[in-house]
Amino acid sequence: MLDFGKYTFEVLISYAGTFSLVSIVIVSTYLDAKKVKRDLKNLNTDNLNDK
Amino acid sequence: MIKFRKNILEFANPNNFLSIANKIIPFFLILTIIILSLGLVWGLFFTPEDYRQGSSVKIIFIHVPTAFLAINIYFMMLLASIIWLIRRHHVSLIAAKSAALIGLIMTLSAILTGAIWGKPIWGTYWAWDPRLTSFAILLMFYLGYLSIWQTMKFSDKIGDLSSWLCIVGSIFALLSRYAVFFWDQGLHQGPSLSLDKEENIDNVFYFPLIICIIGFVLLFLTLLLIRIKTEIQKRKINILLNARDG
Repeated sequence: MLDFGKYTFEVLISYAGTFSLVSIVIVSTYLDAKKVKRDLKNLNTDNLNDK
Repeated sequence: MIKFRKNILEFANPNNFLSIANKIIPFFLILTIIILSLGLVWGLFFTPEDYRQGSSVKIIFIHVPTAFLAINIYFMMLLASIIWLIRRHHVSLIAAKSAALIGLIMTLSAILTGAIWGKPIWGTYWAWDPRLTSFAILLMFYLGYLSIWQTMKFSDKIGDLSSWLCIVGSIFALLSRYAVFFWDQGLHQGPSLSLDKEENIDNVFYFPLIICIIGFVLLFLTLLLIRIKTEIQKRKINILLNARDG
């Protein structure tokens, strides 16, 4: 399906490699943001309960 | 000028930064998806083969933007580190720290795609060429910078240490950027994008390449804003925990 002539393998492996590397940053950024958001929410709830 | 300076200083306040970031992140995210998809689809599917490089020319649509970002993210970190050392704005230190992982990934990607392209065109994956070597050293500086933050707790002293490391490494970022101009002995060709029209690549590759570069820059800015926001919130949590536990 994806045929780029003589260098199809090189082209596909370059794109796949870059997407995999960029995905690492995207996923780690997303998970980190999600965790911090949850921690902040829990902390605010705890503070309200303490009062 | 005074108004511009006032706006920049407002950005240095973590609370102001958060409120501005919250407004612009969704806009940047949508723009990134549209422009990056457009550039990559155009480059991959709607450009012809080069008469010398064949279809391997399609690799430039990711190699050039990632290499461009690898160097320029380091310059951005350098600027933020200098601001930290002079003005002690915590947001600038957090910005440098947040950009480092993205810079590392861009450097790795540039080296990887360059090697894959190099094998069929140069006949080798790697050569100790000035630009390639300075890129390898730049990668080490990114790793060193990230190691400092991974192994030690956030503090002003660690901020100073990482900032000085960033300043030393900027020599190699400069070398990576300009090695092709003043070292005429390497395998690496001149810049793909030049202000000189005669030296520039053909328009059929030039326009999708520019779109890809804009798309990757937007991706960097979006990730950077989210990472800075997260880092500020982490600091907030630490302060709240310390205040609660006394």
